Amino acid sequence: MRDLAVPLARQLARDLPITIIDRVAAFVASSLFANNEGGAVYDIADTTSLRVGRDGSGGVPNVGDPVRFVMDKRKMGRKTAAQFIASQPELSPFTGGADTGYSNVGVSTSFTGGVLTVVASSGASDRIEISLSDLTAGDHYSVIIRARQTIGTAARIQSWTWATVTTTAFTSEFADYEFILPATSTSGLIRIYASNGTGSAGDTIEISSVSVQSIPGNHLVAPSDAARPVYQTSGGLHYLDFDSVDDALEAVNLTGLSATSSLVIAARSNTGQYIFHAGSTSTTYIGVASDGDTDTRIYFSAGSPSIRKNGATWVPANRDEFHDDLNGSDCVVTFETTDLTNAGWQGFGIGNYTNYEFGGRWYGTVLIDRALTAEERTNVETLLATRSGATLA
Amino acid sequence: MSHSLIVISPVSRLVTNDAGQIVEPLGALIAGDGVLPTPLVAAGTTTPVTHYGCHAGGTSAAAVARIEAVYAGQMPADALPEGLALQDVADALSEIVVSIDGRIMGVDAEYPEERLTGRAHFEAAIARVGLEREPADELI
Repeated sequence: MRDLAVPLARQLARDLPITIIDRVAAFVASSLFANNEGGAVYDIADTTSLRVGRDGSGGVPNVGDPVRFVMDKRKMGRKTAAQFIASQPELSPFTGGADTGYSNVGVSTSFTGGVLTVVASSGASDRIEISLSDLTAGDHYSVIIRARQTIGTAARIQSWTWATVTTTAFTSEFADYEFILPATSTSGLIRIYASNGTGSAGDTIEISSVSVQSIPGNHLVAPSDAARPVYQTSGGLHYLDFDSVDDALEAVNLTGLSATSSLVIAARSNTGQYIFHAGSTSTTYIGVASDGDTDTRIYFSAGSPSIRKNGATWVPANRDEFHDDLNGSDCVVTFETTDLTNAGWQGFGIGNYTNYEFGGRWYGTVLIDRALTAEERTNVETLLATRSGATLA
Repeated sequence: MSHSLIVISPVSRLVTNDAGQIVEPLGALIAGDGVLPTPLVAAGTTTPVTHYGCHAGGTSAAAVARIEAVYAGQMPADALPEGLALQDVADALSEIVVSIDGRIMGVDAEYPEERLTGRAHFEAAIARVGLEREPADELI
């Protein structure tokens, strides 16, 4: 029914003297990627697509919390990230529904009422293991373990052979422990320890469920714990606040862009820099040097895109003009190129790039490796204008 | 309330991790994984890089409390970084610079009335210890 909303509205508009006012609500950026195009959709307004930890731990941020993981939503349709993940197929063979899908390593187990009790026999490395198969190398997976500790000190280790995760302590009450991890191969192993590494025989944990669900996409990850933006809100708008020192987010595996690509950004720069680059090791970027720089080479370093600001064609004369017109204002900026050097787009990043730093608000971005039709472009620009508060021409 | 945290370390202390990042060994005790991405030079010079620094806005009150405790000589029982002894931490604190909201830990007795954040905090902190950001290369 929802897909019919726009055609129906247009039919009504032809038949009746009314104005379509629901186009933004009807448009969803994921619809641009119906043919599996490369690219990404980042939307800070969907806070369920944000995580505090680089490994997806720490949950959805509160206002003022750091953000180290941002999901690409281009395959999520109209769903929030939380709704999308919940709708994905369950990959864990142990869900708590039956006493199967795991193996013991040095522990004794019992299964009652949907809860698996795991008791260490000798201490340090006693654990259960859950084997996963049919993973896609490079894809991210949501792993949620619902568990608690009942005997022993307050430290349980969870580790995976397919990615590195934070050592996390279980508490004495059941809670969900969430991670978002990239698979390094088609198979993986989840290890849940009944001991903290120095524990003793008899240490006990209880596990009620283990969920593993795919989150495909080119997700952004902060390059380190400290170099990350902070989630903020203002006037109903949601954004990540970059500090112009070292904050950054990168999707280093964002590949597959073609020479004809489109990038639409909603942001407010408050420094002299406007940096959206192509990964920490690439020299491709969109940026502008400090105020007063008269160099005219201001766009992609690997292409010559046309550029639009707030829905209208824009031809700034040089970096200074580019900077001054964007600086301090909420803007939707569109770059459209037909001669992008593909090798330059082996990744995508926002923020710090070898001493050039973006400082200010970032509301969202749509990146796609094809040209947008005029209607699609207007839809994207309108969508991002609602996210940033920018006024389109 | 969240806080603004800056860590600066001399290159003599720093190591490189598997990803090629510059890391302060105190790591999680002070600033998460300890990665310091920003190269710094002595004020008035362009080379060599003598220190690296990082800035973390949105630092939690709990993290600040842990750092304050360390500077007060109270090491949390589970906070000692792997492979380091208490003396290592004491030695490190004499070499690194940690600034929270504009207060240089171990130097300033109080927090400033007007707390610093973001780039202004970073620039003020490195200026206090006679450093500048390494000049950027030409963008293109």
